[in-house]
Amino acid sequence: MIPVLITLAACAGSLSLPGDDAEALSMIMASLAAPGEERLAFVEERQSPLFDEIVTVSGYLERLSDDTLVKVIEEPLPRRLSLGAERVTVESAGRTVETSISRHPALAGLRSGLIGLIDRDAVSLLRVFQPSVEDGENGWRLELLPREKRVARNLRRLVVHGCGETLISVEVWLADGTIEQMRFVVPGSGGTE
Amino acid sequence: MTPGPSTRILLSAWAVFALACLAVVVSKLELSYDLSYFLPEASGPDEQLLRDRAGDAPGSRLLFGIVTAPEATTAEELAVDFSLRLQGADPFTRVLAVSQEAGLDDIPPFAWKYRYLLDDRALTPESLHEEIAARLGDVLMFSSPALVGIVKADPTMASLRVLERLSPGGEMQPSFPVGDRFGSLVIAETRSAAFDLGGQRLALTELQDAFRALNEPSAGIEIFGMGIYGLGVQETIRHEATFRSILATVLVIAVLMAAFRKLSWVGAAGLPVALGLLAGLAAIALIFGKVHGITIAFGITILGITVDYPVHLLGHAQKVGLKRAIRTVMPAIRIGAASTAIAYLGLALTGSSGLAQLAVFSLAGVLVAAIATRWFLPLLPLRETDAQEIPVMDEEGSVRPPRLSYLPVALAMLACGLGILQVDRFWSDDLSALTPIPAQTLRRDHELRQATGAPDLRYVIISEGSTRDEALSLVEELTAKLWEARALGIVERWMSPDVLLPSESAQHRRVAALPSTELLAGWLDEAVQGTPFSAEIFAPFMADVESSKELELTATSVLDSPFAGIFESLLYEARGRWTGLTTLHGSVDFAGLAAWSSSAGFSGNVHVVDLKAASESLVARYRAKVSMVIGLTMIAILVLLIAVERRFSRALWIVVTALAGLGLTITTLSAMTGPLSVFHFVALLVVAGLGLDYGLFSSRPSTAAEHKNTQRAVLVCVASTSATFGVLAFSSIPVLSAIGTTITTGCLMCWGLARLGAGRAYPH
Repeated sequence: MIPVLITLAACAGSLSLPGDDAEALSMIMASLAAPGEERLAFVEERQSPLFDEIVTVSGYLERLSDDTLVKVIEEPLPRRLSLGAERVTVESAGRTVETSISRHPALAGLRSGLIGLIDRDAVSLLRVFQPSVEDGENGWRLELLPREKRVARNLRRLVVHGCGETLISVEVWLADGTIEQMRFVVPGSGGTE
Repeated sequence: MTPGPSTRILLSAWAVFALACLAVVVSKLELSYDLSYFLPEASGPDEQLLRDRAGDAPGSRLLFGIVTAPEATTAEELAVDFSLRLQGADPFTRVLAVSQEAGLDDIPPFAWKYRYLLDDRALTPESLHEEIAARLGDVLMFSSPALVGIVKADPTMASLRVLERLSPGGEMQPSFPVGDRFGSLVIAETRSAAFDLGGQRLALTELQDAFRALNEPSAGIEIFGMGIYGLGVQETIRHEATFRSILATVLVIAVLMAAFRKLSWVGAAGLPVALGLLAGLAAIALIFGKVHGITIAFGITILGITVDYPVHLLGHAQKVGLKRAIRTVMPAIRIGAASTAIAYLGLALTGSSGLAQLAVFSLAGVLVAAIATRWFLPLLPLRETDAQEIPVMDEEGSVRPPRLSYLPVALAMLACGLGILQVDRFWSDDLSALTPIPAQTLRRDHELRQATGAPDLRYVIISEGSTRDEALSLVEELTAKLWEARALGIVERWMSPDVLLPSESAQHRRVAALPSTELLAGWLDEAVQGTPFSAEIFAPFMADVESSKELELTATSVLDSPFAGIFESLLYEARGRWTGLTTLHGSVDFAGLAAWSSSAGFSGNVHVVDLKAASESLVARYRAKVSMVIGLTMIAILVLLIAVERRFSRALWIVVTALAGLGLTITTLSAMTGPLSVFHFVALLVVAGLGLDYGLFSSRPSTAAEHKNTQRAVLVCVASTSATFGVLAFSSIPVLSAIGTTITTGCLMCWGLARLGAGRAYPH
């Protein structure tokens, strides 16, 4: 497998994080800026053992008031994945498939991770993940390892990159060798930060 | 007193008879618990289905285990661990935890191997293109190792379509609140049928061992299912039967001791009954080979009544000596036994193999008990000192028939008439009302079955053919029509045997439609155009399509799979015809189903069965038949009495009094306990026998002293019968309680009417 190379510009706003990972995570979350928009646009580079090449996926994340996380893929194939507290709904080409999220522990883990990041909720993240934080000149790197075995069976880890109070990207490492590198699009910039 | 040589020979003959019966019983008799044996002969396919499937309905082999824990996730994880420990355990064909992760990696090898023979969606360039695009969408949503494996080997998801049809239950919540805790469900299908209690006990032990092995102090488990209820009922019956039979025996011994005051006489009174029991069992062993548990329970109850014969004989012997007692009471005992035998002969003709067995058992038992009373009891060295001490008071008095009155009968009929006005319904045709399973357990079972999508067993659709393949072809035609019914919102999901074994023609058609390797390679190249997939990753798919062409799916292949249990319950042979069952799951519009089925244009071999209606019609028809048989036997008994007694008025009085006793019993019971069941009905046959006996003895021409002796002996019989069945009346098991209340009430009513009707026999 070819690891995704993340090229980041040098980060200006260092946070001087404490040595303890949990405290560092709390500090990162406390300092993260609130997302300006309801919808968090992303561009994702997808690498899979099934693909000959890296596939680029674009869409947006939306956190609904009922704690549902919606991931909408607009390109290359429109799909909508809603991760609620109890149900998972997949909509594609006019078809809707709904199932209980408890039967998909990895999706439940992904939901907790992404909602925790959007809400900047360190407590929720710590409940589900074991954090490990690194701070460097390119910004901070937060690795989140699922605490529950059944979550970890498919979702190996989330790796979050940021700079100061800005969330730059989230890497989703799956058990089948897939790595999704989701970079958030700054509104009005026309590209990723 | 030393017995003479002829007595010794006769005693030895009886001993040989008893040992021969015992040898037959031990060597030939097998126990059976198949309930369908007790259902009457079916009329039409609906009732036939009810009979055929009574012991092994689809879904009856399912056991439900709810693993509970303080936290929902703990309950779910423990349920998965629990089910993993049970995988491959011998008593089960399948074990599944509902909380198990949505299982792309859990596709059963059977569904995987035969997927292209089982899936009815044709593989075409268009469908392949559509499916490959859909798989890209799936992978982009969220991938997993299992999905990667499926995409490579089964990009059209044929295996998942097969799996979906194999699991029509729909989706369940992985955990749910149970009081202040959480529970997660594990479903286990047993290899043995629900009525095979030995197999069910093994399954229960396996479940309990697996739970203990979890070694989690905070966890709990509840286990449900037809087999478990069967075990519970067996346990309750064993406990109740032991306790109540000991109590009843003690009471009968107490009554007999109070009457005879000699233990040897009490023991002697039991011997004809014991010989009758042995003879009854031996007769069943010789004629049927197998004896049903119910036959033994009912039969022993019915034969217990024959203790009346020695009681009458010994009761009189106590006063007038054995020789004279034989002369005095044997005519009545003979007629009593003969009329009871006629009644049981009638029972044998009611059309149920179980009841025929019960009739043979009782018939042989009653006759042998009566014969033993006459020819065996007098051989015993019973001391008759009391008889010599008591002067025969009315020895010179003339033998007269008692004055028989119809007034009590008329009053009883009046009471019945008034009672009828108070009773809404005399009979319940609901077979489910007979179950000994507590109502609360049944409600919970119903809820669990609904939640797990186990089939609604009220309506099923049957397809009948002369061969297995013909039945399967009819099921396939039905399935095609059910898709239309589904579009109309009449049915939601269903399960049928063609999902596991398509007809030969369907298999050939599907295999013939599979493309060659070259053709498929071309289709794949086109389908992956414009996607990030490379055609090479689908090599396992191409290999599997090719190898599927060599496969042949047979009944043996299904029977070797974990789906054997469900397959056998959905497709079976009976009386040379094959029947395929289609069970309905999820919501069903029953009114719409009835209308749709009549307009769907089914062939005569396919139709919708309402099992509740079938069971009710079965019971109603059965009751009508038994009523007719009772009527005919009463006429036969009347003829017998007239022939023997040569006095029409006495014979008529006996039969009318017994019928009035029956009427009063039915009215009283209906008013007291609500509509009567089949169990009450069978117990009424015993009441009829008792009514005849009491009438016979009470109306016997005799001297005043003999009449007094008779009344005393009848009273001892009534006391012992009421004591025995009064104990049963308080049982928590419906069948025992129904028999107990019916016979106790009937015994008292019949005795009261006979006593009052013949009470003014010798006015001073």
